[in-house]
Amino acid sequence: MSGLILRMAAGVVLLTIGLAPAARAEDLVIGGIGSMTGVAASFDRAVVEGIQAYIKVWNMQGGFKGRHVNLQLLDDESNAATAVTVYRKLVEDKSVGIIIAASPSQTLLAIKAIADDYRVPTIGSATVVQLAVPPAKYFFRSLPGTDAYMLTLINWVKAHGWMKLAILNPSSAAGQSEAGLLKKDAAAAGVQIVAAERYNDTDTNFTAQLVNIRNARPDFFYCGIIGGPSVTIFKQVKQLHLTMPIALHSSAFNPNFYRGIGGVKEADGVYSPVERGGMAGSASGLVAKLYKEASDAMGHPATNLNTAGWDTAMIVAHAIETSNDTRQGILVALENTQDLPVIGGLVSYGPSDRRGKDERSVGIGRLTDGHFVEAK
Amino acid sequence: MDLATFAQFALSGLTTGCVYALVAIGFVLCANVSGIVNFAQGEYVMVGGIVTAGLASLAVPLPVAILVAVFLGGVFGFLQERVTVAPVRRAPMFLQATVALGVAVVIQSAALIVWGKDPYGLSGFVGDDVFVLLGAYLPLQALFVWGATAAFVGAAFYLLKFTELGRAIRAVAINPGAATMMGIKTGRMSMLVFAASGAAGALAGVVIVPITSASWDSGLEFGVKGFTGAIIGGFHSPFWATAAALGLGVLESLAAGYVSSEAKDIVTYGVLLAYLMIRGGAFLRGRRVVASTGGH
Amino acid sequence: MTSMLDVAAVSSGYGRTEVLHGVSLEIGAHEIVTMLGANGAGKSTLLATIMGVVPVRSGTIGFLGEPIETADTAAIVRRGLCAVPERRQLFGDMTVEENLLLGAYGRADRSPAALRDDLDTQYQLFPRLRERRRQSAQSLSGGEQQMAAIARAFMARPKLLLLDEPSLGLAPLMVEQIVQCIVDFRARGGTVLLVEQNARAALGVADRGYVLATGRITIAGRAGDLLANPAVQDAYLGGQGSGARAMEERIRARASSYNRASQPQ
Ligand SMILES: Nc1ncnc2c1ncn2[C@@H]1O[C@H](COP(=O)(O)OP(=O)(O)OP(=O)(O)O)[C@@H](O)[C@H]1O
Ligand SMILES: [Mg+2]
Repeated sequence: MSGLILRMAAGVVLLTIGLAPAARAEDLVIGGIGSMTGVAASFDRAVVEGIQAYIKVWNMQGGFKGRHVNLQLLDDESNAATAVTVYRKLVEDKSVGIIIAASPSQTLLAIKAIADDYRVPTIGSATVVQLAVPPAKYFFRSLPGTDAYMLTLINWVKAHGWMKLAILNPSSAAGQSEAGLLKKDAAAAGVQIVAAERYNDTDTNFTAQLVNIRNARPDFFYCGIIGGPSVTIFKQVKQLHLTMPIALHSSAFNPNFYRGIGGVKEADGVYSPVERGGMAGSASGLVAKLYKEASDAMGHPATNLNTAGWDTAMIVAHAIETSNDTRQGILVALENTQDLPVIGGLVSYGPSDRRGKDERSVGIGRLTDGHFVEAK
Repeated sequence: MDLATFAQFALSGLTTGCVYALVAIGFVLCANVSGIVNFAQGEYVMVGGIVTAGLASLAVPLPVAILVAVFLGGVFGFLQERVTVAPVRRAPMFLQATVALGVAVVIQSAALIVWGKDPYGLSGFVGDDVFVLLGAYLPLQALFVWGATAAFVGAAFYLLKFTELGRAIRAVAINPGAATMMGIKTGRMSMLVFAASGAAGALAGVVIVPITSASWDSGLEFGVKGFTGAIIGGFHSPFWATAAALGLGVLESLAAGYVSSEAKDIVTYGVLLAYLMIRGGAFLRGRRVVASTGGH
Repeated sequence: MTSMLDVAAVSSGYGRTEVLHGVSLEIGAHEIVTMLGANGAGKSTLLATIMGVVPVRSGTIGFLGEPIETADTAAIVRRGLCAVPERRQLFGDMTVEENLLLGAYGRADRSPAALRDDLDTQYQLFPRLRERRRQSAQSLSGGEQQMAAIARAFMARPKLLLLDEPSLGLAPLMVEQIVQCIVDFRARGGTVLLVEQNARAALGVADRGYVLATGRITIAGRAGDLLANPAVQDAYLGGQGSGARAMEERIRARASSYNRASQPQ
C-alpha cells in the first residue's frame, strides 16, 4: 500500500518536474506587422505565409532553446498610419525582441523613420532603396533593393538585344523612384526609353498610357504595377494588343490577380524580375533543401513572395539563435550576419549596411502556369 | 493625329463617361426632386460592382447576380430616402449634405465589413475579348456599358418626357408646392427617384466591374466625377448632366493620352473651375426651377 | 342650400406661429363666395389649409358632408377640390399642355380619350392656350399664365374651385375675362371660393363674401351688403378711382344678367 503511495508521489513529482519547464517557459515572441487587408494584402499575405511557415518549421524542430516561438502579428490594413500605431503597440510589449514587417514600401518607410526612436530591431521585407539608404540603426531590409531588381532587368533586356524600352509606373513615390532607377540604368546600358507613362492607383482607364506605349513601338515593356489596378492594367494590355514581351513588377502576381484576369494561363510568358528564391524548385544543394522545406510547410510550391517571407524569418531566427534574446543582442547579431544562406541567396549586413540581399539574389522569371521559371 | 489613336482615347473615355453619366443623372434627379445633393451617389456604383462580382465568385449565375445587384441598388436608394432624406427635408442644406455624406461613409463601411478590402474582379459578360472600332481596340464589355447606359438614359428620358409619372416627377422638381396642389405626392416621387438613382448607379457598377474591378472604396472616384459632370451640366437637366458626364469621360481620356497621364485630373478640375467661375456657382443657389429633359 | 364646404373653427399656422384662429365659413353648392382681407391676413393660408397643404390644428373641414381635415392633398383633389394658387405657380419649364395635363393628375378618370376631350374643352375656353400649347409656360404673358393656371385647375374636374387672387397684376380687360370665366364655371355647375384684393370686382361677381382680418372672420354677408358696409368700403374699397368703379358696374351688370339666365334650380 505504502509502495503504491510512494510510487504515486514519485509520479506526481516527476510529472511536476517534467511539465514545469514547459509550462513556465514563456514563448519567444516575435513582433509582426503585415498588410493582411487592403490593397497590399494580396501579396503581403503571401509574404506572411512564408514567415509563418518558417516559424512553424522552427517550432517543430524545438523552437528557440526549447521555447515555443510565437509570431504576434498585427494588421496594418495597408495603411502607413495604422502601421505606425500597431508598431508602437508591439514596441511597448517588452517580450518583443524583434519586429518583422511585411508591408508596402511606403508603410515601411514610415516605420523606418521612427525605428531608431524605439530601439527595437526591425526587419522589413520590401525592396525600396530608401529603406536601407541612408541606413537607420534599427531598421534592416531583407529583400534586394529595387536598384538590384532594375539593374538586373535592364542588363537582361540589353542582353536580348532589345534596345527600346517602354515603362509604366504608378505616380506614387515608390513607383517614380523605380522609374528613375530604370532611366538611370537604361542610360548607362545604352537602352533607350521610348515611353515613360504613369498612372494613379484610383484610375480605372489606362488606355491613354497603353496606347502611347503601343505607338512608341518598344521592343520590351516593363509595367511597375504595385497593388490595386493590376488586373485592369493587365487586361487592357491584352485588349489593346500590346504584343511586345512584357515584364510586370513581381508584386502583381497573386491569387486575386490570377482570378481577375481569368486564370493563371492568361499570364503565361510574362516576365518579372524576381528573387531567385521563388524559382528554386529546380535548384540543388542547400537552396533546394530549404525550398522543399518551405513548400512542404505550406503545402504548395513556394512562390517568390513566400520565399521572401521565409528568408526574412530565417534571418531573424539566425539573429535570435546567435544572440542572448535581448533587443540589443539581436541588433548586434543582425549586424554581424555574413553570407547567411537563405533560399533567395546570401544575406549580409554590416555596422552601417542595412541592405540585406543584393543583385545576386535577383533573376528574371518567366511565368509558366503561375510559377516563375528562370528565363534565359 | 491619327484616327485610330484618337478613337482609342475617345471611345475608352466614353466607356468611363457612361458610368459618370449614370451617376450624374442620379445626382440631378435626386437634387431636383428632393432638394438634396446626394453625395452617396457614387457608392451605388461600388455596391453594384461588388455585389455582382462577389456573388459571381460564389458561383451564383451571372444574370441572377446582376439582377440582385441592381435590385439592391434600388432598395438602398429607397431606404436612403426614407431613413435619411425624408426626415431632414426641412433642415438646412449643409445638414442635408452632411447626412448624405454620412450615408456614403456607412455604405462604404458596410461594404468593407461584408466584402473586406480586396478588390473584386470579374470576367467580361461574354469573355475578355476585344472588338475593333475605327481602329480602336475595345473590350466587348464596353458594348454592355454603352448598351446599359443608352437603355437606362433612354428609358429615363422617355419616362420623364412622355409619361404622366415623368411629368409629375418634373413638376415636383420645378415647383414642389404647386405639384402638391395638383395632388402629386412629392414624398413618393422623391422615394421613386432615389430608388431609380440607386438602381442606375448599381447598373453602372454592374457593367463596369469587369473592366475596372470593384472594392469598398471604388465608389468615391465615380461619385466625384459624376458630381463634376452634373455641375458642368448645370445640375438641373438630366440631359445636360448626361452629356457633360460623357464629355468629361472623353476629355479626361484625351487629356491623359495627348497631354500626359498627370494632366487628366488637372484638365477635369480645370474645366470644373472654369465653369464655376463663368456660371458663378449657379448650383449653390440650391434647387433650380428647371428640370427639363426635352426641348434641347 | 346644401353646404358643399363647411369650415368650422379651424386654426392652423406655420411652426410656432398660428395664423388662422378659429375660422368658420360655409359655401353652398353653386355659390360664388369671396374672401377679402388685407395682406398677411391669412387668406392664402386658409386655402392651403383647406387643401391639406398646411395641417389643421383644431376645428374641422367638411367637404360634401365628409371630413377632410386629416386627408392629404391628393385625396382632397380626388374628391373634387382644386386650387389655383397665388401667383399662378405654373411649371414654368414645361409646356402649356404639360401643365394642363398635370392638372388632371389627381383626378380619377385619366384615360387618354378623357384627357384629350378635356384639353379640347380648355382650348375652346381659352383659344390662346391652344396656340401656345407647345410653348413653355414661363414664356406666356401674365394674363395667359393666369388662363393656363385656371385651365390647369379645370382639368382636375373640380366641384369646388379655390382661386387665390387671380386678378393680381392683370389689366382690367383681362380681369373681366377671368371674372367671366368664373361665372361660366358656376353656370356649368361649379362652385367657387374667390380670394381677392380687388374687392370691387370680387364682390361684383360673388353671391356672398367674408372678410378675414389677422386670422379671424370679422365680417360676413351678402355681396351687396358688403359693398355697402362702411367698414368694408373704408378698408377695401376706399381710394379707388371712378375708372375702377365703372368697371365694377359693368362687371356687376354682366354677372347678374348671367346669373338670371343660368342660375341652376
Ligand atoms: N410658408 C410660410 N411659413 C411661415 N409663415 C408663413 C408662410 N406663409 C405665410 N406665412 C405667414 O402667415 C401669415 C399669413 O400669410 P398669408 O400668405 O396667408 O396671407 P394672405 O392673406 O394670403 O396675404 P396676401 O394678401 O399678401 O397674399 C403671414 O404673416 C405670413 O408671413
Ligand atoms: Mg395670399
